[in-house]
Amino acid sequence: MKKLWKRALALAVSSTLLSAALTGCTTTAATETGSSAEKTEQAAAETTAQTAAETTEQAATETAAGTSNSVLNVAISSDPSSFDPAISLGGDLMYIFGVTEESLTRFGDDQKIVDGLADTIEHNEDYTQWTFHLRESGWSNGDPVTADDWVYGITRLLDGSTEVAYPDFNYEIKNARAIFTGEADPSELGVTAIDEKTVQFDLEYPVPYFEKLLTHCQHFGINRSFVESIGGDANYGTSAETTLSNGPYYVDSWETDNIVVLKKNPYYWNKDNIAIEQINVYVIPDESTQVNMFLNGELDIVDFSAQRLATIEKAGFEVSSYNNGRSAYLLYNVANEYLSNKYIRQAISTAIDRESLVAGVLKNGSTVADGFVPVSLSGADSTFRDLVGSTLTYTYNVDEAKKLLQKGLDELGISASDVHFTIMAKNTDEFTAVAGALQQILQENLGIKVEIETLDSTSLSTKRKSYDYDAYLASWGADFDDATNFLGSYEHDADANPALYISEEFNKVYKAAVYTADQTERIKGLGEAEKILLEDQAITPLYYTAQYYAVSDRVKGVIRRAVVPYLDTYFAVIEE
Amino acid sequence: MKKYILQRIIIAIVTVFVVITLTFFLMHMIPGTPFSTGNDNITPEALAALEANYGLDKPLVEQYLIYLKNILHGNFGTSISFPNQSVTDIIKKAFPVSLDLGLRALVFAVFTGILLGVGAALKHNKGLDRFSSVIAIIGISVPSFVLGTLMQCLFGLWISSWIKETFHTSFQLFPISRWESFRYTILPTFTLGMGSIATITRLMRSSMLDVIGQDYIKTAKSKGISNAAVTWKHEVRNALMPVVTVVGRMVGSICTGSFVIESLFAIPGLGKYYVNSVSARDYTLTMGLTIFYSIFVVASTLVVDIIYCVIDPRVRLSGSRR
Repeated sequence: MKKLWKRALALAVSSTLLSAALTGCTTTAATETGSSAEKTEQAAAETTAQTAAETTEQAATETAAGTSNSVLNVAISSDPSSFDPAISLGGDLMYIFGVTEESLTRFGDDQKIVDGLADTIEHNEDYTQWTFHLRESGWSNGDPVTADDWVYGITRLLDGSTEVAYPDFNYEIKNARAIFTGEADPSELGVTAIDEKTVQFDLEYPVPYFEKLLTHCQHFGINRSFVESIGGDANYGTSAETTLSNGPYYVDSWETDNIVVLKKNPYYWNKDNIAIEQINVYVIPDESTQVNMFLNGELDIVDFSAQRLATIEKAGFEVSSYNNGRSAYLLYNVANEYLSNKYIRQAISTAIDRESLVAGVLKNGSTVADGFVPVSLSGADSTFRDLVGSTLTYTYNVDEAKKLLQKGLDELGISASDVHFTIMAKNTDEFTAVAGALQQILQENLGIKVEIETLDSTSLSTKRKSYDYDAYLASWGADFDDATNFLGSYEHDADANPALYISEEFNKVYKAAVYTADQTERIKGLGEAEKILLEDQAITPLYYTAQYYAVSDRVKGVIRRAVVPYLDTYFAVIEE
Repeated sequence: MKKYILQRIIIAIVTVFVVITLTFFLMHMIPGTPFSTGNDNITPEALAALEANYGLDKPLVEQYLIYLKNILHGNFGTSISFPNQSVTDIIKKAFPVSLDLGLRALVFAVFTGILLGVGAALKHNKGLDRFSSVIAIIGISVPSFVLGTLMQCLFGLWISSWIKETFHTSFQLFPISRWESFRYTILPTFTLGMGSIATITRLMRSSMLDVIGQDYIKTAKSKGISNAAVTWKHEVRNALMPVVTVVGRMVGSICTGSFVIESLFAIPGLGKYYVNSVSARDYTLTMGLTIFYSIFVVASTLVVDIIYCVIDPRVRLSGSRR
């Protein structure tokens, strides 16, 4: 008996180990040969049965989903993790929010703001009081959309009932900040339900662009009775069942790290103009996998980097590129010994050949920066850049750069070889390459010593906030479609002025511009402020980032935007 | 034997405790907090409210003691980067997938590796031996993201589209990615298993060669026992010993998820959480996963030790560590 026992073990020693793991890694494994063998067999049988079941299941799902006429297939690179707009702000989720939630306003088929769930919008003369009249539209459970959805949706972000990372998105609303810090009662919030279909916002200061702000997920309405019915805020958005939508689609199912299925909301006011019945949002972290799936017809839209351009073009797809509302620039710590000198900063900007940076290093469709606010952000009737033009005077000119440097060196009483500083950059391919190029350019053209430090985003952000850097290769994107997104941080009473930059002149011009009611005048004023910022070279703009993407032949009407949602399929149709 | 096992269990518990303590303090020593990610400007009052919410405003030693108390009560806390999800829930959801893939890869690697190793030893310096060397070199030197991408392109894209065009069907040989049914598991299993096949093959081969040269094999042969019987009953059986040790160590690393393979094939496993939780400074998730991982490794080592002690009486008698 003992011999048989040992022999069985020796022969099947690897499968014994395996069955030990299979039966839950317990230490009871392999106490008896009989049971061990049985377990292995049983496990094998289970696997077979499971496989058979899976195959049938798969056949079923393939006929249900597949590449059916009315199903759009898109990919996001990370799991949404929550559908609660209070805590989820990832770029990937913004696409889903863009089709499952509708704010009082939304983007039209161009960059213009159109009416969303509100069909009439009024404001007082100085833009401090806004009144929205709601349409007849419904939540995905059939409840009507009401004014209280906004009172509740915004109050919950401020009164401590839910975890929230960016309460300041709502600080323009009266008493919002005071409520968050506990100095005012939540009932004093400047959001009032006048009647069931009318909601009024009272603001702390004039916000002429309030309609644009409202498209952001921090201003969504939330259905109070639904949240109460699922047991409170902590449960909201944690699964498809505990998520409610008021937009054209709702979350039908959600498998973590796998797929989110969106289906048309039958109670949505504009449902007849929504062409696509179902959207499958796959969670595919790897870009090369996304590209392969796109080439195989499994995805309808794909974003990709320059290195995959040739592959996609070769497969016969038309490649497009759009400015994703990001601007890349050098941010200086003006407390640095050398970089505190304005002429040295101006010399750096003048020494950089942005054309060759964009064409030779980036090669991804990015364009040369002629200001800080990126190309695609809107101004009044056209874009900001169309209205303001170039504000960067320190453009590439090596001789001029050397002169400016000498001016700075004379002021400090040092020579060029004394100047040395470190450029801090994020450890991605793009920023590592750009930082390397800048190092070379500055050493060659100015003869100054530059070092590079690449870090992950958390370390980077920590060092930036404690001003523990000399120069930082930064990239900034827009949360909403207004230039204040970019320029606001340099106001010296801003919560986190990233550059320690203080300019009375900038402050004065900026403040005057922000509260100007006339939009053209306002943008022009902001342009003046940008000019001051760039004359001082508090930052050195480098390029406006672009993103390549391709859309399958069967899908038309996909819109890419410079602000969230970067991908918009509201107007998309599928043509077979 | 009981004393030996008890001793091993105590060592295992101490190991896990040391791991918890070290990880806790190392994690907090990395610059940055869970709320300093990205380039967004978070206001000071919002930051204070968030830190108080997770108890991060307390002194570090106090946080450590609270944490120890919580885990003794089986409470691993709530993830910071995945709000409203407990660490236990995340592990419960993602680990079965990683374990499933890991076991498939392990079975594939163990059987292929042993067969190739035995073959190589029997046909020493001949074709099969060289073939197994080539496999081993590929398995060890080609990184999994290269191998995985190649598999995707080859089987998911090129061969499949050739079949589709030639036979005018919509037949997809192997799916490019995702984790749905058996067909979906083949490419990731192969990719994950390749690295281990190499190790097992080389080990099995050298171990076999060692056994083949032993006197008792000559004795067995001289007794007129058939070649097949000598090979399977005496050679392979004795040569398996070192492989058991190595496979035991592999269980821990293979079954707890691979970041590269899981993100390449879009598999909802545990692998990505290890990497992402550290860069997100998600203290509770990193701690929970480290404890889970160390318990898993310690437990699989313990099982190997016990199996060893069953197979090889010498280990039991000496009562010492190998």
